[in-house]
Amino acid sequence: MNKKAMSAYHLTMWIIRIMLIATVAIFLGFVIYLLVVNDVGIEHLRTQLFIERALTSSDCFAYYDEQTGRYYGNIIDETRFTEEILSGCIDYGDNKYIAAKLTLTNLESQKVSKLEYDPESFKKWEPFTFDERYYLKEFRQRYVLIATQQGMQKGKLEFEVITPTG
Amino acid sequence: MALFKKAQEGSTILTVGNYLILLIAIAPLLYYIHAWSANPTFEKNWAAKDVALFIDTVYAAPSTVFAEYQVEKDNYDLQVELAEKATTSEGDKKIPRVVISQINDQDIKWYPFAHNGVLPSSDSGLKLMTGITISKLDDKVTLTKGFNGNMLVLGCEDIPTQQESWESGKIVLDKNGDESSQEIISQLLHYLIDPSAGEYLKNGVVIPDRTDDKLVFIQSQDPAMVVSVRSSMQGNNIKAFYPIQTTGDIEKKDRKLACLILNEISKQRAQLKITGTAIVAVYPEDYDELALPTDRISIAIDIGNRKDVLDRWTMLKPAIYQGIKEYYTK
Repeated sequence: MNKKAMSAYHLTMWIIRIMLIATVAIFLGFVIYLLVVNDVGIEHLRTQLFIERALTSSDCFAYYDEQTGRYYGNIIDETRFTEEILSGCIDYGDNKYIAAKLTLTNLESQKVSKLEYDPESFKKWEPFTFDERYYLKEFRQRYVLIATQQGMQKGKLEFEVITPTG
Repeated sequence: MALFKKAQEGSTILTVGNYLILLIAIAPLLYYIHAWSANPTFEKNWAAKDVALFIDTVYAAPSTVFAEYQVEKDNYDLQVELAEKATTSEGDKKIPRVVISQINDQDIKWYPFAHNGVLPSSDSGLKLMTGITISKLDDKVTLTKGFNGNMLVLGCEDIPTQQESWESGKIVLDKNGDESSQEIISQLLHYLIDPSAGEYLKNGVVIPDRTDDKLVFIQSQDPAMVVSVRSSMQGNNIKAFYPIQTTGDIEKKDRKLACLILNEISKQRAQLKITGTAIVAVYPEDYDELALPTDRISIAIDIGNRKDVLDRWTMLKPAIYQGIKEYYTK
């Protein structure tokens, strides 16, 4: 191999090496970023808490049994399933941290009730939920009991929750 | 030979060059990781989110909560503030939030939580390092300084039950439960009405052993309240039962009495090795051995069957007495 060919070969190899190392560095950076995001990214948790709170909190939909003086989580008091109750029991003040649509289906009477939590933000954020770096949209479904005037009935509660990321 | 030497030199330069490039690429990466992990901002951010989520969780609980929050490896003097009116980049807003700051440090991190229309109250200058007690009673969440109290304290009904001449009212005492502990409970009840043993129930009556119908006996005595003590086959919690289907405020009064007695008993939790207390509503017909009349104040204290409690039964006497006394005086 002549001198010119040798230096061309070396140059090519250096370029490949630099590219390889840069790729590894970027990959490592990405792994670290993912770890950090998984450690402190709490959007899923925030959504989960929102759902749990709606279902179990004495201020939200939870059914209150006057005889025992206890609240029963996952049993929805039909009369409390209103937007007023929901916005009062989960109050983030002036800032918007979560927006949701709730659909309660009574599986026995087939009655469907819908609620919205912060509908303005929901409308504003929804178009951007394709990119999870900004907004995270999650669907969750829970089977519940509904306390109605006719007694306890089977039901299904669907949540469509959007929360800003970060 | 000369050619070989030249090739060797070339190879050394190549290897050194490789290491140099590796160093140039990895060093900033390591520096970045170190700076990130050492930066208080990261920890503050994490702590702010964690405390706020913890408060959210406490709000989500359907009943009374008493919890302690502590940061084990806390290198910073962190503080928690709860501001109703917060200044943000967009101006003043009402945001319930947890603010994590370092003394004399402008680098403040905060994270919101959702309240239930009732903002929590908080001690000033809370420090994560020394622990925060977060409790929820009814709708109200309270954050107080480091925990040094009784985790088993129950929130009692706030209804008036004061009565000055309470000691002249009759109190019927009953024993119940498995055979092995009958003697101990009998001793405890008689100790409660024994004038030679400090404070005692002046008008207490213990239901005699061979009483056929306890409810008839109770009606004949017409007491102001009935307190039954029993041991059960299960465990290390102290429970109080009260009958449902009573009329008026009796249920609430039952719960208040049960709560005050359990809180007194739980003060001795270290010696009695109690892990929990609970007030349980029962249908009287399901527990007819307990003799819980529904027309007057009546509760049954279940002390479990553990040796730690049964061997120290004398400690239960002042607790039960004090609970009854507080019911009538507070």
